[in-house]
Amino acid sequence: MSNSKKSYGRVINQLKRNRRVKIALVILLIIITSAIFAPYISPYDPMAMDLSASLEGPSRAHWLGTDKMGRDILSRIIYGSRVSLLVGVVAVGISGVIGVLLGSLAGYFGKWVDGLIMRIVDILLAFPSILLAISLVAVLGASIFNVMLAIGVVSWVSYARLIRGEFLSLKNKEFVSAVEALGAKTPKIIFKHMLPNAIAPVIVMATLGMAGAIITESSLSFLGLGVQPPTPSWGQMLSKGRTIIRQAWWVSTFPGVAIMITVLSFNILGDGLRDALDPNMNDYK
Amino acid sequence: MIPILLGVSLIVFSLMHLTPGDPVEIMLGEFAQAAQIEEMRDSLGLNDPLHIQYFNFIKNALKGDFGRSIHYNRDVSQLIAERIKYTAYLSLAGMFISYIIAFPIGIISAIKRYTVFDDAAMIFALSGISIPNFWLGMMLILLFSLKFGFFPATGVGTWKHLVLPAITLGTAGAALTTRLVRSSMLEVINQDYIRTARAKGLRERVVIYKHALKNAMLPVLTMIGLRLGFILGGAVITEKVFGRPGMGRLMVDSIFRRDYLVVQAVTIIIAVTVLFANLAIDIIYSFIDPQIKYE
Repeated sequence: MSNSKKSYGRVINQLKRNRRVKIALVILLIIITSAIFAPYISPYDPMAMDLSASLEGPSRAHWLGTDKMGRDILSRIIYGSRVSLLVGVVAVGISGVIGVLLGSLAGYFGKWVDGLIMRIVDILLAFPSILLAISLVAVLGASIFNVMLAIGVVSWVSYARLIRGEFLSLKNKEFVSAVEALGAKTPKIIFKHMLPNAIAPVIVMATLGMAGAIITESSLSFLGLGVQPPTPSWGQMLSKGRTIIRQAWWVSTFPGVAIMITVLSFNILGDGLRDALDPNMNDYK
Repeated sequence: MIPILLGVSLIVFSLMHLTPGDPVEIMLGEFAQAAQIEEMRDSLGLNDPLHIQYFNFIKNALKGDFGRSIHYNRDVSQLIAERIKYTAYLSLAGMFISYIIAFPIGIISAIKRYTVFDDAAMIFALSGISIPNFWLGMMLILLFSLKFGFFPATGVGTWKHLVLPAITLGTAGAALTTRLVRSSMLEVINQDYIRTARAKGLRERVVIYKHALKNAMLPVLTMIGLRLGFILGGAVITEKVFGRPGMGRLMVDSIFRRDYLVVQAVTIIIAVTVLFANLAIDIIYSFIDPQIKYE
């Protein structure tokens, strides 16, 4: 325990020294805070239409302009962050749980269990994940829940491969043989003893997974397969702005900037975590 | 390979059978008679047990028969045949862009490790995977078509139509590949045989481009197969942004028309393409790296 505490401190120290990570963390905190307190900080009601203020450019009244319905874009971006973050967290949760579970089963039991799970992984890898997500949402119907489910279901594969690899090397470690010899039950060996030792790279992958999930959600929304109006989501705002990009560049520019900043911050954080958690992998891959 | 192909087809088949709504009712419209629907179901084989339907689906797919599109009232395979070349051009151009950017940047940042160039390359790599490609496409249209008028915003025809979509599609791949090229170069550069090459008095350029690069290529090559899947997935969205009449756009449009046989066919064609590309790369790999031999 003391050992893991020490390395925990080392990770924090290393993160503290990384200026990029600090900036990314501050940005993410701002985004998360504004998502939580959206009703208090957005200047306008994100759904309130005002046709007299349709397609106004950025001004003092509307910092980022208004859309075709005269709705304030800044307020819609602030509310849209709720959708993006929620989809990210739930989708990563779904894929993480499925992936870690199947990956540890495959790695621990080996033999036919491993063979079966890895065949499923191979099959899913043949599909570009965005394509499978599109098909799934098409079948399930477009809604925020189905988007989370689809992204979660198509992205567990990488977690499974990661955990399986970790388990394969952990299985031959002495402490695992020791708890096995002590007669510990299999679920206890897997979840209490082995998993905590394999979880660090999962955290890195989950952080990067947030970035990926937000991009996928926005792509699905862009295709009209994401969160349905009137709930504002970044991808959907972009999709609406596409047809009027000639008259009103701001409608499609700012939500894109919001996506980029958020995703970039998650990617920088994930990268920084990887460097800090794995001293042998100090070079970005 | 065969079990994976069967798995892929099974997934696609079950997806389309989980779809809510009776395809025949969609086909015949709201006012169809019950007898008419039943007759149609029979003729399409939809009353057969599921495993028979699956067997027939495989049998027909192997012959290149994916059924008829409800919307176009034409063979799905024909529709795809007309569009596949646009998707192929776009994907190839996108891959070309991503490699032509990734190689020089990746190599130089590995050689000039921890310099300003390396930092800038890393920021490029991180930004490249953080920009949704449809948004990048829209911004490119805004800047280079609407503002400066260098390239057409939509459509197909000349090479100019391909420039913006290819950049849109290639950027994320370029970012991913840059990181891969850099890290595999770094791994190779510290090996003994590189030191030997330098000690022999070879010029630095020869050491890097002849000795190091050749070996650093291997992991990059293995990724090409996976990258193809990534590119084809991205092409679906890029085609939508630029209004290119390719396979991906056909698929997305068909979802909204509930023309599921088309969706099914495109999905399976893309998955099978990715599988065969990976197989081909495995084979090429064994030629390049004599240490790998198939037992």
